[in-house]
Amino acid sequence: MSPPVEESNRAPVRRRRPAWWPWHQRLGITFSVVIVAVVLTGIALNHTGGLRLDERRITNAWVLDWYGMNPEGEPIAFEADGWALQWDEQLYWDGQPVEAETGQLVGAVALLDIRVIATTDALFLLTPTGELIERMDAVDLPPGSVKQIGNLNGNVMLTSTEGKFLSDPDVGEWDRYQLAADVHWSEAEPVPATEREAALQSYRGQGVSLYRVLLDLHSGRLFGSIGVWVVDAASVAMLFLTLTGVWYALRVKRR
Amino acid sequence: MKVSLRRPFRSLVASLFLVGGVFASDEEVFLAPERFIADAFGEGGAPDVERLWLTTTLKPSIKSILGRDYPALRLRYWQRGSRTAWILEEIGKVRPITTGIIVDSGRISALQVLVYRESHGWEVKHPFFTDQFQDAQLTEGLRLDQTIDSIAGATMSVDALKKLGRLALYLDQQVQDSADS
Repeated sequence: MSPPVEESNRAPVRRRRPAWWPWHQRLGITFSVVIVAVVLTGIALNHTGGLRLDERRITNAWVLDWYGMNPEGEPIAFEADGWALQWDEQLYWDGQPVEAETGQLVGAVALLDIRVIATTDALFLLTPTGELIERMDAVDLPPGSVKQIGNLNGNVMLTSTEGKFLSDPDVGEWDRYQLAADVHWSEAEPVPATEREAALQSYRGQGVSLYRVLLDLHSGRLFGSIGVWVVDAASVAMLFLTLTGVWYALRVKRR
Repeated sequence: MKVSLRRPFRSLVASLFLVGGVFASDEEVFLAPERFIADAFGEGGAPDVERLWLTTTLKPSIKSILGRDYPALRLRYWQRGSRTAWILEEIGKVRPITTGIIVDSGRISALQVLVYRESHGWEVKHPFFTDQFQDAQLTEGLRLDQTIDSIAGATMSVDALKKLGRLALYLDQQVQDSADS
């Protein structure tokens, strides 16, 4: 008769892991980064007011590029003791917005104390510092669509689809003008880097709020529809990890 | 607005901007300003355009009417005798409402919405609203002497037109006074 084996000398009982256990590990590792990001952004979003997420603005160029906050196409510019620039339909004078959706910029001229910007549909009279004096449109412009603007002895010369017109010195009245004369026509010039940057800054305004970025990171939309699916998958994985974790913990406790 | 499809999220953001843009650029021209001016003086046709500089003398009153400076230094107008016509703009909620106003002998003869750009409040274009301005005069306190009934859901547009009515009457006073002096 063999002697009884003492309890303490018994080989440790190896608990059998359930079949899904490797998946518990794999999913946990795979989605760990996503789950941490979702949790941290969720906590931050829960305290939007306290953290002033709405007020904090992100103006980082990379982030704004990512959000697609870029004007379309290339800017065009005309120099007239200052720079008139148009980019993605927005008109600027020395980097400050003048008006949007106002036709194609065709030129700019500098008179003694007035700067005149011409688009196909309107004329903008500004002070040298950029303050708007008057916006002139079809009501008080010569007939036709403006094609060209120039300076003739301190007066504005316009070429429209209906002919050539010369203004009075106050740029208030127009007379048809037939004579060929020494007009200094405004011509497009290469856009200076400083003007381009100023227009870009103006276009982007105050950027996007930190709340927006965190919300998009939380939902995955920051990375497009694929990001949303990844967050969805991470959520399902989190559910799986929770259920299997609880189930396994209860099973071990029963034993 | 750049709509790049390289990244799916960009298209989402771009679509949101575009939706906003649709509302923002929803410009409706009820009557071309040049048509309004042509009709304002009857068979004689419109007189030549004149211009009023918004001097430092005028600016305080204009600011008290609008609650801000008028966004220009010079205003165009048309005048024949006691009759003046104005094309003025004031922001309703976010975009300017272009309005034509005729003043005759110190009373509003006609007020008409010419171009409306807001997404809400377009009801102010209807005659049932604009006819309320008929014969309105300016009080010494630079207010209208008539009550203008508001429209539910168009309060800001209504306020904008009331301001423009007051402004036109004030500007008319200035040009009539300068003509008399």
